[in-house]
This record gives sequence, C-alpha cells and structure tokens, in this order.
Amino acid sequence: MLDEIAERLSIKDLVVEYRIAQGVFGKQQLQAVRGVSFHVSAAETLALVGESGSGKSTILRAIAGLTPVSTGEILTDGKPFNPTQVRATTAGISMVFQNPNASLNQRLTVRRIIADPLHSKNKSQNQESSVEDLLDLLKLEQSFLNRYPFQLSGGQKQRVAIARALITAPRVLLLDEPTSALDVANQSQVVQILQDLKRKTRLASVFVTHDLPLATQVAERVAVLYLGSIVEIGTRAEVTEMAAHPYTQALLLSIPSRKIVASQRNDSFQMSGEIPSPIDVIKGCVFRSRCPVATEICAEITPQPVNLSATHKVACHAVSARVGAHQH
Amino acid sequence: MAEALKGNNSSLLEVEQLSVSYRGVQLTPAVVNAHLSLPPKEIIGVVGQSGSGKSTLGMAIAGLLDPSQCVVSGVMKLGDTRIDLSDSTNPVWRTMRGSQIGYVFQDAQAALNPLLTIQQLLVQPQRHRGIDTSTALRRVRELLEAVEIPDIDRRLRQYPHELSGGMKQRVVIAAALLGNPRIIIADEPTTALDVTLQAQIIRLLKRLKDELELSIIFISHDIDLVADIANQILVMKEGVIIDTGPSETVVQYPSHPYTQELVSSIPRLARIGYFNRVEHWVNNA
Amino acid sequence: MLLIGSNSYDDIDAGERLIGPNSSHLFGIDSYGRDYLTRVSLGAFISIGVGVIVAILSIAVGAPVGVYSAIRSGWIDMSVGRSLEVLFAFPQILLALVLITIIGSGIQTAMIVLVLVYVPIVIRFVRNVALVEARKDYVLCAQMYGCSRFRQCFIHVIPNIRGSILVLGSSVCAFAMIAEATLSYLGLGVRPPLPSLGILLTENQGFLSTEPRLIFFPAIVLILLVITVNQIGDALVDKLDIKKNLVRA
Repeated sequence: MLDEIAERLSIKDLVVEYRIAQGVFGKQQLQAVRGVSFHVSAAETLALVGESGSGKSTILRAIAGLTPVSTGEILTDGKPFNPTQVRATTAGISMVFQNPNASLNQRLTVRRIIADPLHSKNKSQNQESSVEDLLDLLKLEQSFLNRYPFQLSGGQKQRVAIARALITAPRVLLLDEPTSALDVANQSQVVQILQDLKRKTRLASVFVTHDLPLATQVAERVAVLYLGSIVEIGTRAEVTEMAAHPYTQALLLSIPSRKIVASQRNDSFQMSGEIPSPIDVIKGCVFRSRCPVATEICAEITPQPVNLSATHKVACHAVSARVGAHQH
Repeated sequence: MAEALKGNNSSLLEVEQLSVSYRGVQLTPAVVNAHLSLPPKEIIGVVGQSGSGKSTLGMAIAGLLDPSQCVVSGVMKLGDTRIDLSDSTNPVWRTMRGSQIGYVFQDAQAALNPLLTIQQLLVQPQRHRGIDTSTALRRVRELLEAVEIPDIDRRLRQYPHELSGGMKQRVVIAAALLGNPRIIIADEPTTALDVTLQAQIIRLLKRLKDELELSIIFISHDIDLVADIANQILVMKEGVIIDTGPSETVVQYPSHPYTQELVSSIPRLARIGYFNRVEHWVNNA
Repeated sequence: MLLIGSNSYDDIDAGERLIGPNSSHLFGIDSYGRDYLTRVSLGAFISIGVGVIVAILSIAVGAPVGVYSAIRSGWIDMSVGRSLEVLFAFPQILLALVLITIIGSGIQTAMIVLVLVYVPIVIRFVRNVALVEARKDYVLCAQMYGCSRFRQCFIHVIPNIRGSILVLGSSVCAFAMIAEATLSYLGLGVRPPLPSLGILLTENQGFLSTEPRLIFFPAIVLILLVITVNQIGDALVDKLDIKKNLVRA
C-alpha cells in the first residue's frame, strides 16, 4: 500500500542559492533554482527540459545531496527528506550521471562497480536485486562482469551506471542527461530500457535533458525551465501541442523542422539574444528580457502558475491575462 | 584567385579517393576512399556518429591534419587547380588554404587565443598577408556586422572569455571568413550551443551563404539538423561514405539500412501547436 | 646477504693497506685493510634498504591521511592543511637533527626520523592530487549511495591515483637515500663499523687528493642508485597502465 501514495517524490519551493564574489569586496547571491515545485508519481517519468543556466541539473544534485538546498521541502512518499542529513539511497533515491566515463571507477570491474552500493551501511529496506539479474534487465552480457569500463562501449558503460543505480531498489531514479554523451542508437536503447523498467517495477523517474523531442519520447509529463524557474509544466501533449509560455513556443520553433513530423509552425517569432546571467535577474519574470510580449508588470512581479487544465500550468502574466479574459 | 575558381565545371571543389590513416602502432584508417563534389552556392551535409571520420574528412580538405600524425592520400580539385593531398608542403596548397577554404571549429573556446583581444585575433591574420591595419580593421568590422554581433566597438576590445558561447561561435565564423573564401567547412558548429542559439546560428549560416555566395560543407552527428540546412547529404560510417543523395530523399526515404537505422532512432515530435500563438498577442496587444 | 665482493666488510688484513684496484679486490683496499668493494656494496645495500623502508612507511602513513583529508574537506581538511604549513616552516635537516638529538642516533632511529620528516611531504602531495580526484563524478556518486569513507579512500580514490603515489614513493626513496648519506656523514645515522655510503664518505674524506677512488666509488654508487630508483618508479607507472590498455576489447 506504500506504493499507492500519490506522489513518490514531491518538491515544494526549492531554492538553491550560491554566494559568489563580485568585484573586490562584494558578494552576490546567485539563484540557480528559484522556488521550483513539482511531483512525480509511481510508474511515471517527469522530464525537466531547459537550456544552460536553467538549473535543471542543479535541482537533481540538490535532491541527491550533492549541492546544499537553501530553502524548500523535499518529500519522498509523503515523508520529509533532508538530503544533507540522510543519504539519498536510504530515502530510495538513486542517480545516473551524464558522462559514464567519469561516473564509473575505471579501476574496478563491472561486478564491483554495480555491487558497491551494497556495501554501505545506510541501506534502504527494500529488496535488492542480484547483480546478474540487473545485467539481464539492462541487456548486458554476463561476461561483462569481469571486464573493466574501458573495455565497454559508451552505451554499455551507461547501462552499467544504470544497473548500479538500480541495485538498491530505488523508488525514484534521477537521470541527468543520461543519453547526451551517447550515439543515437545507444540513446534509443537506453530509452527503451527505461520504459521497460517503468512498466515492470513502477519506478518513478526524473529525466533531465536539453532535447525537447527526446523528453516527449521518454516522459509522460514535461516541465520547461528557464533560469531556475519552471515556466510551463504539463503532459507531453499539452507542452508540445498547446504550448502557452512564450519561451516554450520559442523552444519549439528552434527545433529543426525535420524533427517535427507534422508541422504547424510559423516562423514569425524568432528568438534573438542570449540567456542572461542569473545574477542580473532579481525580481519579476525570468524571461522578460527576451520575451516579445513582456510588459511593465513582468519586470516587477514574478508570475504565479496558472492552471490551463488539471495537469497544465503556466507561469506568465500574458497567459494569466488571457485566461482571465476568456473567463469573462 | 576568385576568378580562377569560377571555372567552367559545375563544382567548386572536388575530392577524389581521399583516404586518411592515423599513425600509431599500426596504421588506423579514419577515412577510406571518400569522394565529394561541392557545387557553388550549395551546402553539403556530412553526417555520422562519433568515430565515423566526418571531422577527419573536414580537416583533410581544409589541410589541417598534421602529417606527422596522419597519412593522407587523394586528389582535390579546387576550381581549376589540382592538388595532391598527400603533399602537405606544396606551397600552392598552403597559400590557397586560408584564402579559399575557411574552417569553422566546433569548440570555439579552444579555437580562440585567450590572450588576444577580438580585434587582435581578427586583424593579425590579415597583417600576415600584407594587408595594412586600417583596411584590415575595416574588414573586421564588416565581418562582425555580417555575423550579427551587436556593440562591435566594445566587443573588439574584449577577450574571448568575456564573450558568451554564441558570441564566440560567431567570432569563429567571422575568422573563417577573413580570407574571403568561397568554401566554408563547418565542423559541428552548433553542437555545444543551446537549442535556441543553434537555430540562430543556422539562420546566420544560411544568410551568409546567400549574401556571400558561399558553399558550405556542414559536418554534424544530427541528421535532422543537417537535412534542414543542406541540399545534399553524405552519411559516413567507420570512415566510409555509405549513403549519399539529396537531403529530402535521404531522410524521408532512406535506402541504406544504416541510414534507416539512423533516421528511425532519432526522437521526434509528432506535432506542435500553440495556445494562442505569440504573434497573435503581439498583434492584438 | 647479497654481497658482492670476496670478504666480509670488516675483515682487516693488516698487511695490505691502501692498495689500488686489483684482480682480487676490484675496488681496492681501504686505509684499514678492508676490501672496499665489499664495503661499498654493503653501504649501497644499506642505503637502498633505508630508502625503501622509509618510502614505504611514509607512504603507508601519509597517503591515507592525505586522501582522507581531501575527501572530508571542511574543517578537518583545513586543520590538516594548516598543520602541514607549520611543519614546512622548519627546514627538513634541522628537524631531523633535532629529533636525533632527542632520540639518539643509529640506523633505526635514523629511519624513524626520516619517516617523520617525509610524512608531511607525502600528505601534502597526496592531498593535492586527491583533491582533484575526489571531485570527480564517480567519487561523488559513491558518497551519494552511502559509501563509507574508508571505502572511498581505499577502493575508489587511491587506486586511481596510484601512479602519482608510486612516483612520489620513488622520489621519497631517492631523497631518503641522500638524507641517510648526509646524516651518516654527520655521524648521526648509521654507526661504524657498519658501512653506509655516507660513512664511507666521512671516513675517507681525508684521502680525496691521495686516493680519490675511496670517495669516487661511494659517490658514484649513490648517484646511480638515485637515478635507478627514479627510473624504476617511472617505468612501473607505465607498465601498470599499459597492461590495462593492452587488454582492450
């Protein structure tokens, strides 16, 4: 019955701030993550999509305890979880990193790499799988057990990293751009494996990527991030067919046309300029500097999320105004 | 020089039987028997996964391979001039390299000397060719405007690390255009950039191709991106060009099994749509 | 005992003294009538022994401390760093001399003193290398899944910096050999009649102009030993990695 609590992972108003030196004496607060909230349920994947500076990787690292959380709540299965005091695996959270060359200890055999988490004292209570079972699950040959990482291909290495993440039987899997370093063929294989896992074990996962089409292939729900805030979140159909936030629309328009099977695009809104530094944006909407419909209110007040449907939320003053107008 | 290239034949650049092998304990082939024909004002895309030899192909054509590390063989025809690629010390080839073929590097950070300001970076190569400073500077301003860099005076005084990723990439493109080349080889110019920036750079390259009458060899691992910008596509696998054709055909109706695999495994969106398209808001403000 | 030479090192043949190299005594005979080749070879053996033992002990103590400090970071790392800085304020030889006056001289004490002098050096070096390694993804991942610090240190970090540690070890060995020779030269290390290369230099310094070979041989042997040790260290690092690389799939 533990399984049926609605939300495996719940994040409320997560803020991650860094102090950095400015000039000779000044110290400035850099908000990498500005009050982000979302949840993930069992057998569901949520994709966090964003460009550089969006904070998507920082969010994962904060949940995993690799970066300190400034304020905010993290709940696993409804219970509060403090990543600095409790190991992520004890709370049933595991993570897969982007570069398998860096995330695997090159001096250990595959067997030892995958089995290493079992040596830690703070193990979760869940049933653990054996190393051999995991290899089968990830379509790796048993003969790999005694090989070293340098003897494997990129795709195989990443699957070993996933096996290692799964050996503690996590309830939530965090994936930080797990396919960015892989070839297209390996990428689709990893995606397929993750889908199978979801079905078989009802695993909840958070998948970070900069590739929106990939996100829609992997996840049922997608959150779009810009400079540390979620600007839009919804099901994959909602975010791609009913994209409401100007940034989401610009993102869709930036995708090469061949990546869209049936295109209804219109190239009139072409985004110019580059992502500003997060230090420069203190209040108001993070996207205002490049937004074609920004008004004075956008520079003053941070837009609150507005519901376009039960699952679709957008944080934009222009959208709020339009929704308000529709209701009259 | 430019006149000599207009030539009678329909291609600006022809490469025949280009092979590159890396020296080492054994000779490792990187490119095997590549043929390429680049017509004027056209873009050819070279697509392949990592290790397919696509970058090596680009560097071989641009003459950037180190002879102590690689063995190159093959023939290249640049307009009317025939060049034997195995002889990298050929003086004709050396003078033609910078002025006929420009190279856009993938890693803008590594391609720009961090100790020089943008002005010095772009003026020095021209001074080497005997152009006086004021002409060189004028050309630099023209180029920076052409690559859509705003606030040129300020940028000229800055160092590469003070520029954002997109700016750096534009500077690298400007550097490639310095010698007034007819041909640009762009090696994964947008791979390290965000998606929205990528779209901007692609638009820029398309515009430059039209305005400056360039031909481009665009190298990438992303077949969709390449099909977007190129007229013709070459698909490479393990050093061999295994498929070639007009980009429409190669992507929509791939004939070679490897190309089919490549095309089918790329994640795509079924369709896109908008809740009140943004331009409607702009018009109905 | 691996001795080259015909006789025991202190076998005095009073009848023959100060004879140059000949067929039965390749290095000749010293002022006391002892076969010099035997003495030099024993001296070399002692030097190597001291060098290797000091290197092994310093690394065994210093490396884990350095790695642990790098993994811990925070105030533990800071205090280790500061203490090291304090220690380095003293010149090594001075430190060695002070310690010997307290503990007394002799080969064992010489070794203990040298280990004490080199451990801080090892800690600083290993800590610097480990700081870089400990920031890498696979170590962070291990921290995340609750890997004990002990395992992080010995299973993850140390095997990946073993090349650097090996080179450090050979350097410490070389330095220790020279330091031992210096201490012996000052009369503070190995005690006669045991011949250490340093003692041989002390005993025979008066003969520099008359019988230069008595100085020449031990000095050359010491230099050769130092070079060889360094070369072995470098070669071992290469060998360890090449073996791995040759087994590519």
